[in-house]
Amino acid sequence: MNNPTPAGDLPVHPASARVPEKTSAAERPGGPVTPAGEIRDRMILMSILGALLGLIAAVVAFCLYRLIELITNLVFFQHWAFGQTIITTQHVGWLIFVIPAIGGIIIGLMAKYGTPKIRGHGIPEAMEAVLFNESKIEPRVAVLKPVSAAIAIGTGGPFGAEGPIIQTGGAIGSILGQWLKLTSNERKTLLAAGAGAGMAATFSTPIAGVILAVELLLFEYKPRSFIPLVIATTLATTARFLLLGPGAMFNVGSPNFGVENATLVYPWYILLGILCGLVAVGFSKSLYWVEDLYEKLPVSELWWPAIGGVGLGIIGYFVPRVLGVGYETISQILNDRLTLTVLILVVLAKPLALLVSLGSGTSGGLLAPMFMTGAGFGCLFAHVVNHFVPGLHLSPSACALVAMAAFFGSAARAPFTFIVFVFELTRNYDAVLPLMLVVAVAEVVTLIFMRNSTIMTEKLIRRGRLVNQDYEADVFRRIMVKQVMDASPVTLPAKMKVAELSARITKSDPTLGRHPAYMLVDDEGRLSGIITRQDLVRAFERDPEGNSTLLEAGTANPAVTHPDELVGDALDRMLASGCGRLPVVTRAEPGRVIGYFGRSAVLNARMHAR
Amino acid sequence: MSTSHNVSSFKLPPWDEGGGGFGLRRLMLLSTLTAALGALVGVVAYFLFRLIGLITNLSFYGRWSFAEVAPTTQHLGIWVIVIPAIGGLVVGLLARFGSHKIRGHGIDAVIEAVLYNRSKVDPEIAVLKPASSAVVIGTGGPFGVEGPIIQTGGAVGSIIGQALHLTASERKTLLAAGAAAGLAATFSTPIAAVILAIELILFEYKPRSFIPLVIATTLATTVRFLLMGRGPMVELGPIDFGFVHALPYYVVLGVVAGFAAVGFVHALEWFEDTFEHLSKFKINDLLWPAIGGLGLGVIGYFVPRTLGSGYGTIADLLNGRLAIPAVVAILIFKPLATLVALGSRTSGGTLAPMFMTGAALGGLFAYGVNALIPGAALSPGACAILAMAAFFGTSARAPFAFIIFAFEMTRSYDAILPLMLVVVIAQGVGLRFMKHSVMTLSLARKGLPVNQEYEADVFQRVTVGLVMDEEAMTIHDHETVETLSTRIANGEPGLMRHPAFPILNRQNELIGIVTRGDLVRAFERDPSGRMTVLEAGKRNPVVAYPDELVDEALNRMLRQGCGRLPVVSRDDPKRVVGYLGRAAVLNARLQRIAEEHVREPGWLSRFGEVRKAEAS
Repeated sequence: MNNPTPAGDLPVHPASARVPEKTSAAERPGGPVTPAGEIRDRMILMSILGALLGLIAAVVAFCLYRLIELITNLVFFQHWAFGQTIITTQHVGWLIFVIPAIGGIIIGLMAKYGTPKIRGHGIPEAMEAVLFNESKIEPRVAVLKPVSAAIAIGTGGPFGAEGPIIQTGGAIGSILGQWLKLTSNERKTLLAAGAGAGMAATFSTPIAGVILAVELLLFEYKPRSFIPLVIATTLATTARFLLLGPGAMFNVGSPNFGVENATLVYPWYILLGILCGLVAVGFSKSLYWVEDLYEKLPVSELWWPAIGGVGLGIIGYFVPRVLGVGYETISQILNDRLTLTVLILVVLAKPLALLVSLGSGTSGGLLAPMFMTGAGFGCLFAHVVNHFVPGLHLSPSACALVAMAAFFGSAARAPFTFIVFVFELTRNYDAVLPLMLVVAVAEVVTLIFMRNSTIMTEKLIRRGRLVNQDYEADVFRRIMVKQVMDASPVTLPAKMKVAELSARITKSDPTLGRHPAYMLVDDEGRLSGIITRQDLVRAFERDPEGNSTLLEAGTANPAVTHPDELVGDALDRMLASGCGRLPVVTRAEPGRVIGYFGRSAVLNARMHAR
Repeated sequence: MSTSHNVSSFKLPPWDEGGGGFGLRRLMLLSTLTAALGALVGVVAYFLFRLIGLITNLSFYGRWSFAEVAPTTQHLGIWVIVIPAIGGLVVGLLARFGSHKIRGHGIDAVIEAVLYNRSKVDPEIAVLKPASSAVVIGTGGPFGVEGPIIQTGGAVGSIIGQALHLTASERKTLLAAGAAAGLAATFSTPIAAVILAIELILFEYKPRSFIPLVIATTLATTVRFLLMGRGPMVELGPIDFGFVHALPYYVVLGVVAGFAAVGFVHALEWFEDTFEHLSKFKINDLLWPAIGGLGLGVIGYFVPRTLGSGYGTIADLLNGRLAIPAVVAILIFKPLATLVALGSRTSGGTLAPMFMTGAALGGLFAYGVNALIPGAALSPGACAILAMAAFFGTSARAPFAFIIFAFEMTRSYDAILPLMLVVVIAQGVGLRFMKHSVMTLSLARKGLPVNQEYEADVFQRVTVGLVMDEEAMTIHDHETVETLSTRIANGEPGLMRHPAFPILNRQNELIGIVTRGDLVRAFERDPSGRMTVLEAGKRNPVVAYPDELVDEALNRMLRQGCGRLPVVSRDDPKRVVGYLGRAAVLNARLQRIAEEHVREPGWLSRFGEVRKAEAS
């Protein structure tokens, strides 16, 4: 028996349904469903907010990069200056062992007394807020996250600032959303727009910023969120152009991608894709393995980043190139300007440094170090292949470029983002085809070995928080009520006595059909109410004789649906009004019942239409 | 084609326990298939181009040549009116005796096949569609090849899918990959083709379909590079987008292009209705394309530029090489020609003509603004590119695809930022004032809804533990049918909650389940009711776990044909911890409703309320 409990009593876990508190059917006649037109009108407000957010995110990104430069200059060169410096030329001697550890201690303190959300590389934290916290991020994250990342990177952390920027941009979007009266979805749009804008402003990659937000944060692809998102990234990129100039992030000249020798070169690209996928799997697994090792340490969480810092210092003493963001090194690899020895050192030491420090729960982005590793790996691959296959002449630059996209794109399961991202970083259109091929192949490999988790979601999944990154058109909004309803509904006269119906049910009268509710019609055959078996039981409790009529025992003027309505709309109305079925009436004659629209029909339709 | 089929009448075949989606071995198979498909479609696109060249040469210049030409320089005089009509007649015959699906621009047919025909396309489409559109375009039809090549590529993909043992969803992936490959091979726009397939054809965005799609478009574009060179579709001279100073004008341009798209779609609807009226005069739809062709010929006689695909004219517009009168003529007559021809249900793609119209609109906008506001200094070429993408992206409701398409077509990265801005503003206007897009108009006419909004399925986001009823009403195995029925008849509260009861043994372990229906049937067999509930019910019931997704539990529920599952603990699979009925499953959707519709007061609005209270 399906019981039509009022919405307030629905057996739903509090975390999953905030509906009942504010929107019981009684408070809002017709249910809480906002008309589509109003959602469209909100688009203008959302777009303006998106524009504002884009500009703010760009300025924040700019300030963060300046802050990192300042801290790096202060710590390693003891002078107050902005501007990128390469830590390879530092003059701090043995202090290199201490500096990252001091940075680590500061991060540990900030995490303990500020917010633990600053730990990690940023994107998983933003995803968690979207999926499990109604897109609400605490305001202090917007300040502490960038500052902590600046300290971690400025004291030698081998990170990029992009993850933190994405989290910070997202936090700003979320805070803006919390100021205003918005739905959870609208707040999510602002969060994603802030994050996308942060990424676009950091790297001048507006399209990749949009796709990143769609692939990792929005969990939907709809015009209503797409439009504010695009506006935010556009304006963020514009602001970056004004602040830092319109050039591409990396200049790679024009390497020969060998598209005109497709049959000769593509097999090697496919091999590179497979290798990148395997490396991505290996790296993701080791990162979580290292994190587990830290968990087993007998000291407080407060000290982990400092321990990671010591390890980093030791690696940095021998290979100083791994310290800091390292865009310069990435650029050198992409242009194939490093000697083979240095290349091998970077490919081995950078991921090691990254694992040791990021695993310790410090604050910093994954993207730059993984790009360096991936690019180094691709470059090395080309050199090795060229050595063994003399006539081939794979371009090391080309391989470095596609490998960095494949390595990170497949580890993060955001292949499209990184196809476009690497193209936008270099603005070399020739790269597009090899990029698409290699990234897609690498993605297949990671799907095989890491079916349900990625470097972004593993942490959430371990805590039982499942993340679904597959999007599809809501199947309920593709079919109409007439396709799923029971077209031969049982109707009963509204004046029938409760006792009579009850007797028929007890005798299991076959003409009553198999549904747990009956539609009531008046003398002219027009719909006047609906009664469920639960109503019958309650009627008997009040009046054991069963003398009341079905209409008195049931609900008069029930919510209805129409045959040409989308199942999704009808279902939402049904759920919002807390009942388990709707009579289907024609639009022309709102009293004529032509069908029964119930839960099992809805669920079966979902199965079959998918 | 079943337009109003009853969904629940499908019979479900058994499928392996692997769960939703296709497995990884299938993914690799599909990726390999689509690699071959991409290359094949690349070759097909090449032949289609050549065929159009041949027919144009034959019909307007009377020579046997495959070279690409435009019918703008022909010297046929008044006879030019007849040629499109002849082409229309041929298409009418092909549609009548071949397949009706060749009518229209092709993308709507693809959408219909995906949504309403389990991605099955008739094999003859793969031949008739390109042939018919080559005839139409070759005889002066103002269309592009993109719609037809998308439909053809999709048909090739679907045919391969039908030859093999595949699910509808795998076939859809092949269809979409073929369609995207066709577009990529025609225009060298691999990224835009991928996005277009996602926005208009796939109705999903998942790795399992994304990977084959990317592989197909990559190979199709590679084939195109090898056969026709690597350059962009339209070579652009240096254009100054002047993004920052021109920003306010671009916002206006976006609004203008959006309204133009709305107007175009409404006009198309009107022209289609007008041709529908022809059937009242007993004019067979066989002749409609010929009538449209005649109208087209008249327009073409006066403005020859409107005839044919006109990629050359688009290039001229984008480079700002046309004088104002020519731009005005294009802006008026190209859409008119397109509407007349398309309304007559002939075969041809709308992208090229709408690009030309949009580009003319943008060019004219720049000239107009520059004349009115001396300091504006807008570049006509820049505005043409932006308006072209915005106009078509809005009409087709595929904004992202056409942001990227316009960029890839010109490979001018400077265009990206203004493109993004202008296209989404136009899109906002389109969403507000337009119910159906050019792509879904004909489906809406048939009463087929199309949902182009994608989201992560809420049933795959929520776990069973969150929605289940934590108080499952369990009964013991020694109870008889008689005693249980009496308890129910007495209205014992717990027993009214659910229509089924998990059965426990003496150790409180789950051993079965019994439904009310089982009780009724048990009474029919044995009216004394002395049967135990376990005999009446079912042993070893299918169960759900609190930590699995609602979707997984639901699939199991529907496959077993039962309406509820006892929820048991993962560590101790005999211990019942909850009850998952249909109502609980549907409650997962409450989360979606809450996220979507509950507007929570923010800090600022609370501040506002305080002030309001103080004021009153």
